[in-house]
Amino acid sequence: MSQIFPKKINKLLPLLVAIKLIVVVSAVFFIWYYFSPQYTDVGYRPVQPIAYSHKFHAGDLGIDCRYCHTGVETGRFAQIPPTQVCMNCHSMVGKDNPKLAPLFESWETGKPIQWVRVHDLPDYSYFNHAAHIRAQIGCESCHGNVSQMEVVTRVKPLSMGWCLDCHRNPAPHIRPQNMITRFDWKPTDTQITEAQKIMLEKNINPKTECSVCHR
Amino acid sequence: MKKEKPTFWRSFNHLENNQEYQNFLTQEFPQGAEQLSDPVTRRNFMKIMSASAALAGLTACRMPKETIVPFVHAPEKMIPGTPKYYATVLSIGGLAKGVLVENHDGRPTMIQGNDKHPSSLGAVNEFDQASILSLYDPERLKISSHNGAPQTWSQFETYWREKSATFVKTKGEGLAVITNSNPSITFARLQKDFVSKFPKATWVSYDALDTSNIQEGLKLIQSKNITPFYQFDKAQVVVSFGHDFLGTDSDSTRHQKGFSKRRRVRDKEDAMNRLYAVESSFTLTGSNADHRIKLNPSEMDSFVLAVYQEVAKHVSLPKVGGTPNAHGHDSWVKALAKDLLAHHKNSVISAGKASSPQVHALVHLLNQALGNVGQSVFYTPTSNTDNLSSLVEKAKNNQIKTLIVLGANPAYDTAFDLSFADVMSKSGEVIVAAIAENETTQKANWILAQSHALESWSDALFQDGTQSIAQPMIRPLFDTQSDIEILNLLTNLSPKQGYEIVRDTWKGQNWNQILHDGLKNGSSFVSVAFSPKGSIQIEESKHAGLEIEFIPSASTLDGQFANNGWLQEMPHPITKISWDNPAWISPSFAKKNNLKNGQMITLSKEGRSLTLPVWIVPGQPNNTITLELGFGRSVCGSIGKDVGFNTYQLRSHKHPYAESGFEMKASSEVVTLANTQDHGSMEDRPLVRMATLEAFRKNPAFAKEAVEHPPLKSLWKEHPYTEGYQWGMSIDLNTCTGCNSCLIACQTENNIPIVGKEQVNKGREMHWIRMDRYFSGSEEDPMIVFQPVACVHCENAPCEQVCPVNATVHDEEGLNTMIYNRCIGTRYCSNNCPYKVRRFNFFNYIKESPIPTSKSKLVQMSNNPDVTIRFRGVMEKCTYCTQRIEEVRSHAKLENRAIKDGEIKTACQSACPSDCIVFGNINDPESEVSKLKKLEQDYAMLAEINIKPRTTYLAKLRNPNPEIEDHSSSSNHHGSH
Repeated sequence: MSQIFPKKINKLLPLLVAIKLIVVVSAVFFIWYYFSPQYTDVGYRPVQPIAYSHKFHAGDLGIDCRYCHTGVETGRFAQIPPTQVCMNCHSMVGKDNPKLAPLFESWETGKPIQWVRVHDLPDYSYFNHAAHIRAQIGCESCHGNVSQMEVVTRVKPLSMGWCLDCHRNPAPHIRPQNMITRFDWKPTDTQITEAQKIMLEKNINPKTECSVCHR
Repeated sequence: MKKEKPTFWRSFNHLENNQEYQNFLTQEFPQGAEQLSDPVTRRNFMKIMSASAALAGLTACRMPKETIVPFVHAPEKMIPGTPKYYATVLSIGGLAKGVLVENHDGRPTMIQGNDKHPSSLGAVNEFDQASILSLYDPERLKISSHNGAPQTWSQFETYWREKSATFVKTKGEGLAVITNSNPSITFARLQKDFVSKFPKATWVSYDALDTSNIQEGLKLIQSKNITPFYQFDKAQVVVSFGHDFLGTDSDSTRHQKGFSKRRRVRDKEDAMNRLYAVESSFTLTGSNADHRIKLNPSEMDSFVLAVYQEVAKHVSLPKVGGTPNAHGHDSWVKALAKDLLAHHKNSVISAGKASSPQVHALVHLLNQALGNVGQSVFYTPTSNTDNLSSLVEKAKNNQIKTLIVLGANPAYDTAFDLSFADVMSKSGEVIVAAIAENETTQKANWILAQSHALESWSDALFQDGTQSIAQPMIRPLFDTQSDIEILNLLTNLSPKQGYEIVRDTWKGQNWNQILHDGLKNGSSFVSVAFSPKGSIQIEESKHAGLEIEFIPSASTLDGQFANNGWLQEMPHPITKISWDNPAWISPSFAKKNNLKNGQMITLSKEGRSLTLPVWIVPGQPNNTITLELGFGRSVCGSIGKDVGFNTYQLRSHKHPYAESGFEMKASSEVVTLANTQDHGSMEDRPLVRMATLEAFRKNPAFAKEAVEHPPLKSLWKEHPYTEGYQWGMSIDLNTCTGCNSCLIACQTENNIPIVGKEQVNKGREMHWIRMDRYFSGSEEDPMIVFQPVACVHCENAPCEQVCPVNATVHDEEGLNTMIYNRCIGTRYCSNNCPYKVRRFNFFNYIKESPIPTSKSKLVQMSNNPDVTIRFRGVMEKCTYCTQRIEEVRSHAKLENRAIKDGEIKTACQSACPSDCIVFGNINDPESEVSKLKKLEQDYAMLAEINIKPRTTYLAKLRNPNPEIEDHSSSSNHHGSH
């Protein structure tokens, strides 16, 4: 009986195995990379109803974060400022600027401005801004250098693994009290020892259990 | 091997240990189609959708666009995401209850007690809490209407201006107003204005749960218009003649607080009060009594007289006519009288609203003779409620031209022989103000949409003289006006904001402070001296045929909460039935008539009849059938419509609470009732442990000794749990009255869905707290013990060992946490849980609930934003209110301090009117919970399997009178297994 397959077919087997391997590896890589928040979420920069520039307000003018985000030290949410806060200055400044038309419209009609959320956590995780500010984590650690952003962009993945990285080893992210809202801080050589001192003093021992964030 | 009969039993099936019970035991979630009875089933839907779902592809990987909507003008001191608490006052059943309302970003989500207010003392009952859900009822009236056509308020104003002009001329001839009793001070002021403007108008204020017998009884022995104010914390011996002061009494929260104060036993030297209850059907008061006697309602009067005459042998009491009859309990009566006399100025005797005026007179004469008046019983002025019959008479003679109904529902909750439907059809024009559509609005010409109490400015006077202001928690959700605004419009013809109307009443007072505190202290006790004005005659009780007793519903009160899903699904404290009101019959009555649970019977007398199923209730008097009021609403939202049976159809005007002479006919039809009494059963292990006070004093460790077991050894290396906070809970069974307040508090706090009758019947109710009710003793005369069971947070949790995906794990502080996102719904954990406290989401109860209104965005506004909404296929259970722990922790951390003992209160704890739940850090030996856990009567359920639960119980104690040989408590109950 003659052979059904020619002999050279034998060479195909390693090739098939190799192809299979490549497919599997690339599939794993594809999912691991392209499905991760690092890929899907970092770089998210939606268009806002008003082209508000953090670079101009926080960077060039040097307005402190807390001028607008007033809840950050006391509440769970940092708070997006009410129209009223914008009008503190803009009732005088930029009255003729067409870019600000939605702001004035909101002020006149009493209808709020609908900002698009950039840093969005899933609804089943409960993040508390005040707790992190108390622990002297800088705004920059999660939000990046906002003072240089013309359009606010998400620069960190805000994934659970990323949160846990810091919860397991918070020291590198702990800053001096007066540097929390600053964007020009650079860790010094003694930063880690200082951070450890702060952790001891303030009893900062972040937990990694589920119940810390999930209820 | 045939097992012995259990000492504590939940149902007759349990007592007999029959096949039905065994089936229930082995199957935690009984078999049932895993789909709702919707024609488009989940499975079908998935079949159709799977193709398109596959095509939908990867778009889901991108973040959904979410917007942030800040204020334009931010209110002062409001931090988004941080709840605020406002003091206000709720008036349910005519009682002013001071409460604190949790408000999330302008949306009330939970009602807790105001500890400064004397009617609340920090706790609330289930009705108070559930009124949140009534506020967000999507089936409320959204706009006023005239003969079906929507109308604005100004249109009504125009109409009324014209109409009232004619009535002003006739001084109100032909005008009639019906309301329920209302404790609002402003309402009373406006009522006065109305009556002076229309002096000839008829104003009737009535209650379906009429209390006029109390006042009438007092009128027999003095002349003032007063009502008693009991203080159970001042009494060592408490006697209740049909007064369910721990249960359906509107003031039960305060009563429970007071009663539990004297009942709490910490040390074996501690004194404990003694409660004697004489009643017909089982009430919460009867189940908490040390001695209970069941009587047919007709036997009550002569029994009270027997007690009266017995006491009169030793102290001087006015002479009363009639034949005393202890109905076979002569020694009982003697012992009771002796006990009362031994506790001069230290007892309370009370009678319920169902008792006759004569009984009330006797009770107060007794209280006076025993020195209780001014000690534990006080009297406060009251306004009379009126009788509807005069109005009905007028209407039948066509003398009523315009009938105004303010907030009441007389077409439903009045006696059948008043035939209120006729009244409405014979009245020229009917104007009805109501919160939701009901039987009365159906026949009205004008329907005025009324605001909910949480949307309105008002005020209220509590019986003891405390005045409070009620402030709105949210703007009216619809185009509605409050009762005060409507009454103002009716009287003064020009609309005025509720705020201004209430402010007018409180002119010159420290408004801001009163508003902040929620009350202004006052006292209005009157001094009294009783002596019979005429001769009091206890009438010979004559009864023929069956007697029927009417009781207020534990879930709908008088019917006003019928459309409230939380309350409808709450199992009845005694029968454990939800979504229904069967007729209660005694076991021997059932045997005699060959009736079984769920069998339909027809009750009839003189032209009225009602067909409804029966439920066999141990401890029910033999010749009495008990009917719960407040069900069978024919015009109501979709939740309450046609749930149960309208027992008002059998209620007559003369005998609102009990009547004899009924006939019963059984039919062969048997219906299914959603009963939870065997759900979550843990076989016959000694879970509740009980002893008499005397036995406890002899052997304080009786509870711990109830189970013998070898030294406990763990299968694995145990986690030490010795650092930081270690959370634990102690529940005092001794003071727990079984009132269900914790159950509703948990439901409110933790966004627990309701699942409907059919699902409850399949054992799928979602309540994280299960209120176990055990009978003990004989079938005919048992005792009841309650035990609230939620997740006990075992240190060696069996559920954690079997979860294949680590969805339930322990945290450092001893919480057995549940991570919904990891859960894949194998239900292994629930299988392995010895306490049966885990609940499984068989459906996405928010989106595909059998309850049509659950999908409403409005209902979802009642959700607590601090707790995740669970999806289909996810296990859930008590979390020890981890959200509250985290909230307090972050507060404490911001203030650089440790969490104080008592700072964290779980939802159940904060609601409990008997203070029997204590939560705290068991790692701190000074914390209250640690101290309680060190008490000798502390025990853990199933300690013998070494799972180390964090929730432990304080054993139940009873304080029987040694001179009464109680046939029902003959055996020792301390762990005779």
